[in-house]
Amino acid sequence: MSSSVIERLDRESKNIENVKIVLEIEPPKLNSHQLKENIIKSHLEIIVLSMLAEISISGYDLIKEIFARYNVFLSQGTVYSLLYCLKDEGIIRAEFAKGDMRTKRYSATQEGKQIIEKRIDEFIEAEEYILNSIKNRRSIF
Amino acid sequence: MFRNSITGLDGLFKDGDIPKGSVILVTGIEGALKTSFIFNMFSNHIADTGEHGLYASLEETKESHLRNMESLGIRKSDLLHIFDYEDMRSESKNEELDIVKVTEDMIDFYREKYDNLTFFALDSLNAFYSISTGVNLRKNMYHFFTRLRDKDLTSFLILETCSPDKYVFVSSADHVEHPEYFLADGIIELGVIEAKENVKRYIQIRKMRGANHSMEKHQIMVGKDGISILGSVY
Repeated sequence: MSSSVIERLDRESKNIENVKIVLEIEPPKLNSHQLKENIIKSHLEIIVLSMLAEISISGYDLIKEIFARYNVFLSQGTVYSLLYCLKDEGIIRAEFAKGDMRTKRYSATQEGKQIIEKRIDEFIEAEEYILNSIKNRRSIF
Repeated sequence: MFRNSITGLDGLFKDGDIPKGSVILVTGIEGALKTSFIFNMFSNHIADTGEHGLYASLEETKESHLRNMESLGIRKSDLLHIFDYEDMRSESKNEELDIVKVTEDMIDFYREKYDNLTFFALDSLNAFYSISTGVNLRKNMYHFFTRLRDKDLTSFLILETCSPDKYVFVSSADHVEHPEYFLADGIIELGVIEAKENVKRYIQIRKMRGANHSMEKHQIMVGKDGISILGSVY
């Protein structure tokens, strides 16, 4: 990915008009960008699912939105593959945007919303357990 | 075993098979059944082995591709995953696509998701080249082929040719123009032979490293249950 493309994405991501997402929580200032990138990539499915439960969005805008939220740029090859798999599993559906037959917007199906809610609950529970065990261990020292 | 995945395909091998982990070029003119042959082979191979496969289509949407295959009596298995680049291309508009990186990331995603993803097809190399903005892409194909082998996939790359002359190298300059021919571990050619009163489609293994194969052209046909290969065309 060339620096000009990243700069363009950066500019565009600050001015996304068709994505109505309000970040209520300031993203944590991680020392290591690499660490953040690894976390995002290893939990990409749950991150994407949580976004698609709220909004209808194209693959391209999803990449921009993740960049805006986390400052992590993901490859189209990864993101579109994930969207196609989730669609095949019936969790999300694709519809053409109004008046634009070139852009497919993805959103959760009715059944998918329940699956997503369950997966998010399980994810939070597992993450909290791991984080708490790390915090407790740290308090010993 | 790929040689048992299409009726009659084993007749093209004296012994051996398409080696696992190899990169195979599937060449031929338009209408020679390149796409149908690969898709049918994948579907039947999956039914026999339970392995996962990935079919990357640069020329058709997934829906259009499936419609065409169904019309030929070829049904897609749930273990065969289709990735079409259409959405990405239309949404990215005029932005440059690093098609090699996109393709490798896509393969990595599916390999991570499905442990036993063992084979891959790219349809077609012509579209792959035309989308890419890399001026030296053809020269860089060596690295792409190497990385496909490193991923431990048996890969089939479809390349449409304009005329039979394209298959024959007459000078070293052709190797620079078409490095995929000597980089590939195997070349399967599909084509059409026009006689006075009839037209026959054929399949021929022109090259297959690690396998003892026939060089004869065999007739290939489409029936209600997909593709089958008959005896020699002559």
